[in-house]
Formats: sequence, C-alpha cells, structure tokens
Amino acid sequence: MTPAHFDRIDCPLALSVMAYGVRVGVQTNDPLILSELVEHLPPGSATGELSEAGRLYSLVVDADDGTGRSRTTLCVDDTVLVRSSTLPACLRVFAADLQIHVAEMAPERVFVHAGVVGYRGHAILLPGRSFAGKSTLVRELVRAGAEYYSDEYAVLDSAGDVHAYPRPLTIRNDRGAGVTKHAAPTHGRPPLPVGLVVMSQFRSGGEWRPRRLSPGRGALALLANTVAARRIPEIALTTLQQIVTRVPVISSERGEASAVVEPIFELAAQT
Amino acid sequence: MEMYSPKTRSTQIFVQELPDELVVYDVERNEVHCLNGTAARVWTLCDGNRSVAEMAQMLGADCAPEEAETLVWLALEQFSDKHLLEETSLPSLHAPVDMSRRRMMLQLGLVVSLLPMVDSIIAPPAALAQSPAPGCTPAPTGMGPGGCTTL
Repeated sequence: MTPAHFDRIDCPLALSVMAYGVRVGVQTNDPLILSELVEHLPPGSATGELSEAGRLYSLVVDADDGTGRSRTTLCVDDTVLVRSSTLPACLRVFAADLQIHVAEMAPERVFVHAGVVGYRGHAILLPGRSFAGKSTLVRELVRAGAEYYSDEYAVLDSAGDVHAYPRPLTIRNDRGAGVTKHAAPTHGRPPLPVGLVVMSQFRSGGEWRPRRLSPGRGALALLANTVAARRIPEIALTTLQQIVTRVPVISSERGEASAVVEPIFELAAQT
Repeated sequence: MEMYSPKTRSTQIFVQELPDELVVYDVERNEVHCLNGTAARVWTLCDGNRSVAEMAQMLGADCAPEEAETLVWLALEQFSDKHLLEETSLPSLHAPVDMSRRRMMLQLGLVVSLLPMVDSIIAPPAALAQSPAPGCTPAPTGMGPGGCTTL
C-alpha cells in the first residue's frame, strides 16, 4: 500500500490524542475499531476531536485483497508500520509505537524504562532492560505491601520526582505473551521523591550481593534506560543527577524475586 | 621539541559535574562516559595550554611526580581512545616508553584507587528503552547491563 493509495481511503473516524503533553492524531475507516484503538492508548491519554496534530496514525481495514479476507494496515503519516490479516497484531504495534513516541517526545518529563513502587513515602526505582525481571520484582514488592506505580516507565519531572504510569502490571508467560496480573493504580497517586534505585538482573540461582554504584556510574546505568537519552541528553542527565547525588544506586544480580523483597525494603528504610 | 599540551573536545560535548566525577555525553557518537576522580581532574586540566608535566604537578595526587605524570598519560590514553581529545591521536614521541598498563599497575602498587578510569556506554535509541509488545521475544544477547552496548 502506498501513501497515494491511502489518499483514496476515506477515514471518517478520527480523534486527537494528548498524552504527557504529546499530541497525535488517530484515524480509521472502521467504526468498530475506533473503540479498540482508544483501549490501546497510553495511560493518562485524553481524547478529543481531531485538530492539528503532530504524528498521524491511520488504521485502515481493506477487505478488497482478492481473497475475501480483510487486511489491516497501520501507517504513521506516510509510512506503513505493519500490514496484517489480524487486527490484534496491528493494535499491538500501534500501542507500542505510540507509547514509545510519547515517552520520547514528552516535553516536561523524562521517561526511564523501570519498574516503580512506592514505599514509606519514597519511590523505589527498578530500571532494567526487557526480560530483566522488573515486572516480577514489582509484583513481589507490591504483594509485600509496596504501592504499585509502574512496571514500564519511571516518569520523572524536572525535580526528579516520580509520577505513576498507570498501566496494568503485565507479567509475560513462557511464550512471551502478556498476562495482566494487577489492576492499574488510580490516577490519584501522588508523585514521590526517589528513595532507592536498584539495578538487578534475574539469573536462575543468582546471588543477591548488592554493591553501591558511584553517582557517575549510577547516572550511566539510569541513562542506559532513558528513552529520550539521545534526543535530550542534557535534560536527561540534569534530571538524573538529582537522583544519583541524593540516593543510593544499588546493583546486583538476583535469584527469585521473593527472596530479595526484604533486603530491598531494608535498604529503602535506611535511606 | 615542542611541548605537548592536550586539549579536550569542547564541541558536541555535554559535561555534567558530579561529586568527584564527571559524566561526559558525546553528542556526535551518542557515547556517554563516566570519569572517576583522577580522570575528572585531568580532564579539567586539559585546556590546551598546560604540558603533561605541568598537569601532573597540578593533579594533586598523593604520589611521586613521575607517577603523577604517568597517571596523566593514562587518562589521556583513555580520552584519546574515546575520541574526547581535540587531537585524533596522542603524540607517541612524547609519551613515556614504559606506558604499559601492567607496568603501571606494578609501579603504583597499593594506590590503584588513584588510577584514572573512564567507563563508557552507548546511549540507547528510544526503541531499546521499552519492553517489547507482548508476543515479542527477548532482545538479542551481547547487550550490556541496562539494555545498552557497553564500549
């Protein structure tokens, strides 16, 4: 499908989406899809009538592919992101692409890929790459009494405080498919100052040997998980500086998440 | 022989000061470097006007002058490797002949903590700093802690 082809498709159903100060447009030619699109918007999104928008997502269902089966195409502006015979596949790509776009372009927030829980009035940040076991550790900390803030992003403001990213806690099963385990927090959760940063990597049989990183190495570890590190390095580093100079950044491998809950709470209580 | 006066890069560089450390972001390469205390002090002395000997004198390290000069060279070597100097390479004629790290370590003995260290990572592109959509597989191996390639 070319952009020219798209021009000929009528997309009468359109809306404007605003999330974390980032505005995008979303349009589709299928009324049944619009509500599904809304369900795949990032947490905290507000919708309205389509007006001037930066990025424009178009989800077009085209039944005329000669096989009798419908085909769905997702485009961003003039670029085809995915074409699939299954709608869920397109919706997953839509959700992932929009989420990362918002996280990268948010004007007044720095998004760090991290799990976050609240504990005694402070946030515990659990940065880490995918499949490091962040969500599992967040779940165990919440089970032990911490407040759920996020299993995807630590949303930092200019003071270095953490805001909730209210999407449901998602634990992947063995095949990698997401399975929701925990309801999203309410939007009323207050921003918290960071009290502890824990860089941990799950390894079966791994031993918990926490060591404190220097502020500089802590900054590197956090920046390595910062979505807009390349786009706004100065703002990102200035924001992270406020965390690493105030609170400990701990690093360790770990085994089962349940085994490190108490040690993490003890470290948090010390700060 | 003309005195060698190294100068750190000042363009396409962002420097964040931390207590006894520096974080340097190389915008050109999207590389991020953490300089420990000794490396940070050498960095601040690299203004293009001071010779290595002068920098060693000003370093304030608790060691003999010869050792201080070697510390400066060790820092410069790392700055050069990581493209943080204005010069593309160190002038080998000026460098001491006994610059091997092994010998340095032996010379410095118990003051290893004085050694200049520069830890580096590549800043991640936005797409790396996110969980893949459900149904995706883990990221390829070979990545360093924190989801980025270590240098």
